[in-house]
Amino acid sequence: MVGDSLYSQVLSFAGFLPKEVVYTKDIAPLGSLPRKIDFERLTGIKSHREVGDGQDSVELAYEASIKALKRGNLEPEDIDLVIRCSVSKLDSERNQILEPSFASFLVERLGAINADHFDVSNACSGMITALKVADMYIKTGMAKHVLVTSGEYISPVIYEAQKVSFWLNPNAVPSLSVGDGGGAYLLGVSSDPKMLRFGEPQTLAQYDSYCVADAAIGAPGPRMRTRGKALHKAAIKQLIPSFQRVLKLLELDWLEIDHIITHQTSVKVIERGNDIAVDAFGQCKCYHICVDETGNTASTTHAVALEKGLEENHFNAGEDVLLHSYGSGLSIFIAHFIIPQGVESW
Amino acid sequence: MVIITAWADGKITAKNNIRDCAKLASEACKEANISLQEIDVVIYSGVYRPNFRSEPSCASHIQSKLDIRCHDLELSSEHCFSFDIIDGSRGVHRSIQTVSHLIEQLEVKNALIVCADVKPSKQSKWPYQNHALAMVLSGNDAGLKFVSSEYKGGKLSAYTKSSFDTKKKVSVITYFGDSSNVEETKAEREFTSDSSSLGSVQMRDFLLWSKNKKGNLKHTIVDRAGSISVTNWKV
Repeated sequence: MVGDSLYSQVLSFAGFLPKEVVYTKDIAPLGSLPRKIDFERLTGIKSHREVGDGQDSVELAYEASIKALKRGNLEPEDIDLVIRCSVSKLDSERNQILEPSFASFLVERLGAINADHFDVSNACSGMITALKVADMYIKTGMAKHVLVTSGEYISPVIYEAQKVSFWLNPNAVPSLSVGDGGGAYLLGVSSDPKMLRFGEPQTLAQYDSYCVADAAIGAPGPRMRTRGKALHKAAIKQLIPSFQRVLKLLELDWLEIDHIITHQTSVKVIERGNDIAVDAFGQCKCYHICVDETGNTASTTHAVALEKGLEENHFNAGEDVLLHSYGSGLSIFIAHFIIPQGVESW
Repeated sequence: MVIITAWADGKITAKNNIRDCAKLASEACKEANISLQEIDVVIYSGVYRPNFRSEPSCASHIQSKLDIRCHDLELSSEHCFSFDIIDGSRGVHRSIQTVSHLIEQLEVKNALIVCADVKPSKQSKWPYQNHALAMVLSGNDAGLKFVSSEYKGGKLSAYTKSSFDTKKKVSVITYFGDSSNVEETKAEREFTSDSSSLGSVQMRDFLLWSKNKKGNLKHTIVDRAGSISVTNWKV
């Protein structure tokens, strides 16, 4: 394959969740939030996972990456390029890795001795953005095997939020919805242009201040502040046009798409989005929800949902998946891929 | 092929870094003779951000400040896309490489790269001056043409992290290991940046050096960990 006949495909994917289960009723018990808000009922999130001792963002990405490599029948030294796309870049002491790239730490951990590496950062749309960047490296022949990976150690924002008054800081409440997780996709070369495709990337930057994460004040680790209702409203407003545009661009029939995975923010939001999509296009074959058990795992939500789908035997080789991502910014990016051969044995 | 059609650089403040970066971007667009609304992509490639910001992308803040196509989605509305690329001081080379892919493979005509770094907290040790470089790139103008790039990994012998200063009760930068020390060297056709400078300064110095030169040029950046990026250019 030479020149313009190079395309990319998903060779494998993997999600990883740390073992410790933390229940919403324990972090947001009834009576702890203003106006008697029942956070579990409001979001549909019953639990999330948190890292154990010594685990950090690198380790979460590592676990997902090892799984993806095994499923793709590749060794770390076969990888040409590693792109990391986490929002969080925390070590186990909640320190943020700054320089060089977070990916370089992962490359060392993996022993991917032949891999070039760098980071893409685009909030919760980071994974789809990084997949597109990887796709471009493959199409130009600069890489044959690219590992796109993320490790989200973001549960510290929950505990930062708990220390402030929710009455005085209502924008801290959405921080209770997150969870830790890892995700990875292994991309390779294909001659088929339809194995991995993308919608048009868009950033509606008028909403850039709706969700912001910085260093916490007076405490280690990060903090996140989100105008939850406003962000939800803005995202819902874009939902149908974003689907309409991708269906037209990629010539897809909504009713024929086998799997649809939207950004896992809350069960209620996903169900509301589905209701709106049903009105516009009809009931899709299958939309996936995992956020009830995982919380919002930021850039890894789609990979974590895919992993859950694997565990429940939802996927068959040759089926197609639409990944719809929202990220603060407000970034909207959609990927469409074909599930690779061998998925049944993963 | 992608060309740097215009650029602007200058000191910025941590408090108003987005405003300052946007001002430089506006200057670069003016010099490139394009309107801000013609920018299809914004990429930010700085490492050190005010108060260690991790989301959203700094690129989206700059897009917002410049008010580039900030409207809701419609069936045929046109939009800009913003994201960050982080790769130590090599990030600026990565961003140029990525823009070249975007121009070749997507309907991207004009891109804005902003490389900026500021002292993340007042209490951090910061041997630099806050600085930003804004570059406008396009696929169809005469100028400094990006041809290709190569990257070689380092050994993580030096790196930086944030850490919490328990006395001052604030997050600060912590430097680990001995960073690679490559001095600026200039040959007839090759320019190697001073590795002790921020990425934006390293790129700016190359752009200044490349003025009035003709033919094939080479620019090398070595980051803190010893990773190398080499970009090839043609004028």
